[in-house]
Amino acid sequence: MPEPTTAATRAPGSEDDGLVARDLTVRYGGVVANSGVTIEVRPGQVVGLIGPNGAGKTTFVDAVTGFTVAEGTISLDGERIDALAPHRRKAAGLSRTWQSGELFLNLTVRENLLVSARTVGFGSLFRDIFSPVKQADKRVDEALARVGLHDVAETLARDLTLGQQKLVGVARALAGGCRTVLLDEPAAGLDSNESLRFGDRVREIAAGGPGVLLIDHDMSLVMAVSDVVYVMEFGKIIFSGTPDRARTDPAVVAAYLGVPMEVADV
Amino acid sequence: MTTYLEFAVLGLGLASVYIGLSTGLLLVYRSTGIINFAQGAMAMWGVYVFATLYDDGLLVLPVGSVQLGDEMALWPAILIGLLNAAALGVVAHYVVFRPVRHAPDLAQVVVSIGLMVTLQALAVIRFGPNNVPVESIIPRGEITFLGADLAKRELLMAATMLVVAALVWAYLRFTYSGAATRAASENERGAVLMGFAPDRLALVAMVMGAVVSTIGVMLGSTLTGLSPANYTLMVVPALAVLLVARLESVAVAAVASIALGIFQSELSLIATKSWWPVWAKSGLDQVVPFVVIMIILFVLGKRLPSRGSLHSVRLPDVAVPRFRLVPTLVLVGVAVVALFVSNDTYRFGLTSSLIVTLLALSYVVITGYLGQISLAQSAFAGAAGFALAKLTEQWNMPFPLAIVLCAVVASLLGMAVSLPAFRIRGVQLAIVTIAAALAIERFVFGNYSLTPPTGNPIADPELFGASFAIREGRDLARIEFSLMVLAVVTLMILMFVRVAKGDTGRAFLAVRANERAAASAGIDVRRTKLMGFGLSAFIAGVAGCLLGYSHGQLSAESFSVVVGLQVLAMAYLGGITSFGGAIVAGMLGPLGLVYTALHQWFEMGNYYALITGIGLIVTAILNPSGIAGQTRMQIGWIRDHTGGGARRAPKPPPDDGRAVDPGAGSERKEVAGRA
Repeated sequence: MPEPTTAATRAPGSEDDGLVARDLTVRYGGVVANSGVTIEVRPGQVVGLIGPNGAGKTTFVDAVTGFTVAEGTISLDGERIDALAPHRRKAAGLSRTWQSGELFLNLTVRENLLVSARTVGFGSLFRDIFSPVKQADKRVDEALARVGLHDVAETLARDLTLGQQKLVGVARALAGGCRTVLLDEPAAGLDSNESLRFGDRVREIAAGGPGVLLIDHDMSLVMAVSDVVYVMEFGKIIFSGTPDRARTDPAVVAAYLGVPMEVADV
Repeated sequence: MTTYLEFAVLGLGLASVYIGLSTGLLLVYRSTGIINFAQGAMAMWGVYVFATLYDDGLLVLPVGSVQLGDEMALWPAILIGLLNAAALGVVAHYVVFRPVRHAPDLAQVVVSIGLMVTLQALAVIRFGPNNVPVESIIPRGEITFLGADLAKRELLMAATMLVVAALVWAYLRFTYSGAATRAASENERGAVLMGFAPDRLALVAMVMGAVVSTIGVMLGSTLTGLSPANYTLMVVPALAVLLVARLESVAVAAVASIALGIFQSELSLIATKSWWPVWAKSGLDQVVPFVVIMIILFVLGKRLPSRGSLHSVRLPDVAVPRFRLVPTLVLVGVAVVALFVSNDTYRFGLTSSLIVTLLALSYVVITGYLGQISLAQSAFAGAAGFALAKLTEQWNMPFPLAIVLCAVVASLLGMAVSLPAFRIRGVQLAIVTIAAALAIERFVFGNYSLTPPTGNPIADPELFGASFAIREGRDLARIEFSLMVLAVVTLMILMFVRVAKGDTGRAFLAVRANERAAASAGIDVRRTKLMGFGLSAFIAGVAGCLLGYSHGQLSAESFSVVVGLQVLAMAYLGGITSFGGAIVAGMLGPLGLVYTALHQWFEMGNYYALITGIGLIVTAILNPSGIAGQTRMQIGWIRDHTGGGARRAPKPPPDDGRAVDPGAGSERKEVAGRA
């Protein structure tokens, strides 16, 4: 089983940097949910993935993170990770959030982040018993600050609003330290002001190093923050390029029922 | 060859019982989504009523009895027996299962185990603990076929049960309510939208299931007689059959029942051959169902159907414990004083309570924290106990080291049993673990070539020349032993507190809450389950060793599945999510303080199991967080209302006076949420 590479072992600026998913195909029974999808997310880059409902965006995230079986290759900083179990891909530096939140609802926000920040094995059982470590964790505090959740750190995740829960999901993905993060509709549930601020936060995250794949229905958010946009329809990538070109691309416009994209904003 | 044919036919007797029980289980599952662990116990009741009526005309009711002539004719007795079974089905539906129909798996498992314990205890009280022979209701005789003398009775029994199963199949297949039941079993929400009333269907299925199973046991008991224990646990092989039938097919269940019955019968024949190893003779009847269950779960795994249901209710909350020096010292101080001032009987009771606390704590780890339902904790304790007997008597292993080693043995066994938990969870895991526990109990603990019937002696514990033996001369509960137990239990609880509030405990809770999310947050779910089972079995193993020392020897009865279920009942009653709950469970548990007091003051030892069972049902329905959780909520409420500023937001209003028991007082000092 390939070990995750560390930053030191790879050549800086090589074209393998970041997440490269090549020719991913996912079949659910007879339905082809993803067909030959290739997406690249470079370090420091925000990559948008948009498409109508049912286009296969979440399927793609599930396939990349190991929650569904897929054909094709996935590599992170040049290392193949497609044979790894989900928690190993996370350990290799690939984080994700969930459209449905999927928080640990009866843990506090801080505990949710700690789960992601700490690695647990038989060793931690003995460490807990014989020399327990403090709850405080710098990465957790940083992640909390990044999404602005310091005030609710000790609140149960269950008691937060949906928008806050989504942000906890983002913070949890960041807390473990990641090199690429996949955000599946993180802004759903935020109002337009919060959404604007969230856009800035996504840029900050990317500026801090990791590549970000952003999936969202809020087209203005995706178009505003992304360096590159992929458009998916019926499980296929029908466009990739800059947001500006996406707005005028005939195939993209057609996918959104012929409506120019500024109007299609949700 | 003719002998094999004859034994195959003999196996049909057992097969008839399996057909009855598995068909009943299937009906109940398809209509409610509940696996009824009490199916065997429910079936047993009607047969007891029938047998006493048929024998001496006495109609025994749960309370009181009516004399109806000298003895009753066969058919009226059967009819009244079945009517009793039907009535029991109605009561079980309205009182026990209906209230938990949308509750989490754990509550449903616990409630059916509560019913099982209750009925078994009631049967002991009303009909006595011993085996009652039942007069044969089917003519004996033999049919000669291919030179073999085949037992006519077994053939007729199997034929009868096949007809009954065919009727159930026809009900599900051809009637309107049968179709609705099938629809509801696939998607309850859909069935409601279509205008069906799942509740009424559940009632019908519960009654039918009870009657069908009762017919099976009625026939089977003419071969084996009736005792409160044997048919209660017959549910385990029937569960194996149910899994083979993928929880849905009556026809497959009938075929699998017959196959299992015949296989077990042939196996009992083969086991008499001279080449069959002596050590592998005992308990085969329980090992086979276990193996079947394991194979089925590994082959089918996740593809066993699950239901779309209307609601899901979250599991009881967990308040991460804190270590506080003063309350701990006070509690330990109180225990020391209590041990010193109490006499033999009560000191023994209190010591037993401490040991049961540990056993209950093992449930807190595995079920309260990790969210896995294990019914095998008593087997883990037993494994450690038996290892202790070997280590101390044969290898002279010194005292504290022996406990650690034996607990490690239990821990390894726990990890082995956890392997199925990689693929399954919830009720199916409960089935696997109870089957494993029963197989271990019968194959190892009850195996005379491994365990002499006189019991396994255990050398008394000694450290640096000081003896910690439980007995010396006329002193039957030495203070040295009790203090040693207190020290060990305190140490284990402190260890638990550290794990619970550390990275490991948090990982357990994450897995409990959401396995998928846990994996995406970097948790190795399988390894975490291994750790949880290992830790929980380790704690159970320490309890098993202490139990062994406290008896001076071990017998299979100390670690029977039923004892394990009673402790689970107590742990759930006390509160499955906190060590405070484990302490409450210890006080209430078998042979513990409350048991001793009941025995001493009211001579009500017989009623103890009954009270346990009823208490469990009531707790599971009304108060899933248990006594400790209830107390904690009350403390939180008081704090909220006195400006103490509890951190955790909305708390349900407190309930009045449900938490009155001796354990709750001591627990109140120890658990105090997080400020």
